[in-house]
Amino acid sequence: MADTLPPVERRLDLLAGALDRARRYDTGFIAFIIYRAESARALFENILVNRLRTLNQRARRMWFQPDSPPAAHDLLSRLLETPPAADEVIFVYGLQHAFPGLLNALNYRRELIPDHRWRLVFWALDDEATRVMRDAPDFWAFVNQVLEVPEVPPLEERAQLAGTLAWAGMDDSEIHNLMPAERRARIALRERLLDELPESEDTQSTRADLHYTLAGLYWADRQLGKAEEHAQAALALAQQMDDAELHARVMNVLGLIYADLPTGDRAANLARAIACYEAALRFRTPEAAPLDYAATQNNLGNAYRNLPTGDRAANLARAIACYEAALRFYTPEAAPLDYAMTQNNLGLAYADLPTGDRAANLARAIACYEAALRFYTPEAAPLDYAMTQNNLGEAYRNLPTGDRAANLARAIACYEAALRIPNLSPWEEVKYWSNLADVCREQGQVDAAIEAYQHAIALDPERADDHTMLGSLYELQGRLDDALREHQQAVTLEPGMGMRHGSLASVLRKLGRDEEAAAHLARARELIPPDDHYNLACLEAIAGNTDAALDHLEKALAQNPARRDWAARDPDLESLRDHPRFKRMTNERMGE
Amino acid sequence: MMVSQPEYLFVRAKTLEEAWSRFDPALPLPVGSPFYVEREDNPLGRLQRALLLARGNPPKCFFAGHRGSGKSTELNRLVDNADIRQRYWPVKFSVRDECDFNDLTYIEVLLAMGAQIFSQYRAAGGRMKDDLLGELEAWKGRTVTRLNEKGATFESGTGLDIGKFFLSALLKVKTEHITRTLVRQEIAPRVSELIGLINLMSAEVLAQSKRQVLVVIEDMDKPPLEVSRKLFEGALTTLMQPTCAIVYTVPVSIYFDPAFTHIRDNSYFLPNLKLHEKKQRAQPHKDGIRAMRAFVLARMTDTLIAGDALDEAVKNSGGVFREIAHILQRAIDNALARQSARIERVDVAWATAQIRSSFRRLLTQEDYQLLQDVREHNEVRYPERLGPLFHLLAVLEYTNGENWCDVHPALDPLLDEMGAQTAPTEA
Repeated sequence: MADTLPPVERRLDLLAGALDRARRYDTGFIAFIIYRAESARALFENILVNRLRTLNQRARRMWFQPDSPPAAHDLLSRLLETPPAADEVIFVYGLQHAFPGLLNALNYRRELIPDHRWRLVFWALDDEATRVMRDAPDFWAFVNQVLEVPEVPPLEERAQLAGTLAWAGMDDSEIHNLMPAERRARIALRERLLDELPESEDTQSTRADLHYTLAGLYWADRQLGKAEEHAQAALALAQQMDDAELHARVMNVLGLIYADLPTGDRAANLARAIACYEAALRFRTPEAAPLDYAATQNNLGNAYRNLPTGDRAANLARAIACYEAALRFYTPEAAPLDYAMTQNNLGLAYADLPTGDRAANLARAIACYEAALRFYTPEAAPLDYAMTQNNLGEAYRNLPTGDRAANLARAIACYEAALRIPNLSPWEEVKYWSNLADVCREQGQVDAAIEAYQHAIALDPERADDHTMLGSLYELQGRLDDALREHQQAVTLEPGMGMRHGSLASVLRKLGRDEEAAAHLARARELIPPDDHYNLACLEAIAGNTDAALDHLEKALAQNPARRDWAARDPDLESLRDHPRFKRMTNERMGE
Repeated sequence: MMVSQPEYLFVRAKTLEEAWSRFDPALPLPVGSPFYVEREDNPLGRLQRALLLARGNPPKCFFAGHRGSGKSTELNRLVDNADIRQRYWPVKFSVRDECDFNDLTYIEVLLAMGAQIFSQYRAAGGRMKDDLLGELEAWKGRTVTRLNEKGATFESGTGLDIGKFFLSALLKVKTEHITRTLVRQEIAPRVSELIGLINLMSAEVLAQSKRQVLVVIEDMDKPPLEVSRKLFEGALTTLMQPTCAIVYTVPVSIYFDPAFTHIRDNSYFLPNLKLHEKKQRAQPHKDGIRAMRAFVLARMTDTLIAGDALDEAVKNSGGVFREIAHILQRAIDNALARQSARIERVDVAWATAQIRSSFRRLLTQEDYQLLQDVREHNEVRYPERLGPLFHLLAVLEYTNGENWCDVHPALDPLLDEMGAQTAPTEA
C-alpha cells in the first residue's frame, strides 16, 4: 500500500513547522504523537524540543500521575488557571491516568483551545490515542496533526537508548532542584523504560542503570521504601556483573537512603549509612574517582554530623575532616555547586561545634556559608541559596562578638533574602519566617515580628512556640484578647510545656481572671524543670515573687547572654522592669 | 468565551504559508464570511420558512447534522437572517457552557433557557416591567428558601437577580452532587412554575420588542447518546411547553431513529455534500464537487494547488467540510516542508494517509466487513451496527434526494488491502 509516510524525524520537523505557523498566525493547534515504546518517545521528544528551541519556543510539560486527583484531570481548567506563555507549547503525558475526566473536558470544551490559541502536543500510547478518538470524537475532529511513532526499536537499540535516557538529567544538584512534578515524571519514564526491558543478560547493564537512577530519584522524592527497593535491585545486578564501580555508587545511594529513614532507631540507621559510605569509599578512592570520592566523603560528613549518639564534639570533628577531604576535589573550578554544598555543610558543622572558641567557630561557619553563596545563587540553585542564607542568618544571630544590633540586622537581611525565593517548600518557608520573626522580636521590631509569626502560623498552625511568641508580642501591644487566643492555642498544642501555662497565666491575670491564672501558674510550676532558669524567672515574675524571679534571671542570662535583649521586653517579666537589679542585668550589653 | 478571529484569516491566501491558517479545522466561520459556500439542499431555507410562516403556538424545531458538516455556521446564519430578526428576538447559546453533558436533564435545559432569555435580553438593553421582576424575584425567594432549608447554600436577598440565580443553580448542579439532587428534587414537581416564568419572560419580550423569542440551543447533540435519548424521549413533552420558538440541536442517531418519527415533521437535517451518485462512483455529482472546490478556492488562490491535487482532496473529503480542511492543512505542512510553492498530489496523499491511519487504529475486523458491505451497496442495511461508524465518520451519510451512505474515501485503500469479502451476518 502506498502509505509510506516520511521518516519520523522529518515528520517531527513538519510538526515543529506547523506549531510555529500556529504561533505566527495566532491560532490554536493540537497534535497527537502516538508511540509504543518509552525509549522511542523520549528520543523523539528530545528531537522536537530541540527543533522548537531553534524556533525560539519551549515545551512546558504537564503530566497526569496515577494518583492525580480527579479535579486535576480537567486539563483545560488547569490551563485557564496557568495559561501558557506565547512561546510555550504544552506537552501532555500520562493521559490514561486522567480518564474519563480528561476525555469529557476535551470533548465538551474543545473550543477553549482555539479560543485561547493554546498549542498542545499530546504524547499518547496506542491505547490512549484510541480511547481519545473513540470517546472524545468531537475533540478529535479538532486535532490538526497526528504523528505515529510505531517503531519499537530492536532490543539492543532499546537497551542502549534506555541506558542513555536513564542518565538524562541525573546530575545530583539538578535532582535536588527539580520541581516534584518533574521529578515524578522522570520516575515514571524510567519505570516504563524498565518495564519495556526483558530480564536477560543483554539488558543487565541498562536495568542496573535504571534501578540505580530510580533509587536516586525516589530518594529525592522522599519515597524511601521504593528507593531502597531499587537500590537493592541495582546492587544485586552490580554483583552479578561484578561491577565494582556500580557497586560503590549504589552503596553511596543506600547510605543516603538509610541516613534519611524516618522510622526505626535513628542512630542505628545512621550507623548503617556510615557503613555503606565506607564500603563505597573502598572503591571510590581519590586516585580512581576523585569526584565520587568527594561526594561520598560529603555524605559521610553529613552522617557523622547528624549522629545523635557518641561524643558530639568528636562526631563533628570527624564530619569536618570528611568535608575537608571532599573539598580537595570539590573545588570551585571542578564542581562549583558541589563545592557550595560542601561549604554549607562544613559551615553547619562549625556552627554546631560545642568545643573551642564559639565566636571563632561561628566566624568560620560564616566564611563557609559565604563561600557557598558564591555559587548557590538565586538563579543557579534557588532553594539551596535560600537554605544557605537561612544558615548564615542563624550564624549572625548567634554570634557573640561584634555589634549585636548589626549582627541581628545582617541576620534579618539573610532571612529576607531566603524568603524572596519563590516556590519554597512550606516546611522551609515556615522555618525562615519563624527565624525572621524571632530576630525581629529580639531587635524590638514588634510589628515586623508579628507579621512574620503570622506568616509562619498561616503555613503551619501547629507551631506552639510561634503562638507563644506571637501571644507575648500582642501582650506587649496591649492586645490582650489576641494574646489570650494565641497562648490558649499554644497550651492546647503543648499542654505538657510548663511555660505555655505561665504565659497564659500572665495574660489571664491582666484580664482580671485571677482564678484561672492561678490554676495555670500552679500547672506551670509543676512542669517547668528546675534548671530552666529563664522560664522560672518568668513564672516567678508573673506570680509576683520578685526576688526569686531576679535570681533565676541572673542564672539564665549567665547561661545565655543572647537572651538579654528579649528579657528587657518580655511581657512575662514586666513586673521586674523597674527593679534596679533587672535594669542592671538587662543593660549589660552583650559582647560590649 | 467568545473570541473574534482576526480579519486577515478570512482573506483569500496568496501563499501557502497564509493558506495554512485558512484551513484550521477549528476556525469558526462568522456570519458574512467570504468563505461561506452555498450548498444544494441546504435545510436552512426550509427551517427559516417554517419559522417565518408559523402561526399559533410558536414552533419547536430539531436540527441535526454529522460532525463537521457546518451546523454551527448554519445556525449562526439563521439567527443573523434579517427576516428572522424582524419577527424573532433570537437567544442563541450552547448547553456546553453551563451544563454537565454527562448528566444533563430537562431541568438544566430549562434553567439555562430562563437564564439566557433574561440575561441576553437585559444585556441588550431590554427592560422588563416591575411587576414581572417582582414575580420572578418572589419565585426565586421561595425556591432559595426551600433549597437552603434542605441544606443548599444559595445566596438569598435581592443582590442576585433571577438570571444570576439560574446561572448559579446551573453551576451548583454541575459541580456539587448534593445540590444537584436538591435542585432537581425541588424543581421537578414544580416544573410548570419554571416554564411559567420562561413564558412570562417571553411574553414580556414580545410585548416590549414586538418580537417573539426564538431560542436556539447548540450542542444538545454532544452528550452521550443515552443522555440525549433520555432527554428527548422522556422529557420531550416538557421541552415542547415553553411558549417561545425553539430550535434544538439533536444527535443524528435520534433524527433517524424510528422511535422519534413524531419529531420528523419539524426536523431539519444538514447532509454531507454528495460527490457522486449512489453506487456510481465513476459518476461525479457536479453540484457537490463545485461546492467543495469553492470551499477551497474561496480560501486560497488556485495557483497554490495543482488541479489533480485539488480533485484528489475533494474526493478524499467525502463531502465533509471539516475533512477537506484537515486534508489541506496537513497537505500544506508537507508542501512547505518540501519547499514547494503549491500543493501536489503527493501532499494530499500524505494528508489522507494520516486520516486513514487514525481509522486503522479504531476499526475492528467486524467493522471492516460492515464497511465492505457499505462500499458495495451504498445502503444503510444495519443501522444499529452502523451507528458507531457514522459517529466516527468512517461511514458518511448522504440524504440528497434519497438516503444512502458510503465509506469515507480515505478508507478505500485499507479496504482493498484487507480484502475482507465476507458480507456481515445479521446481528
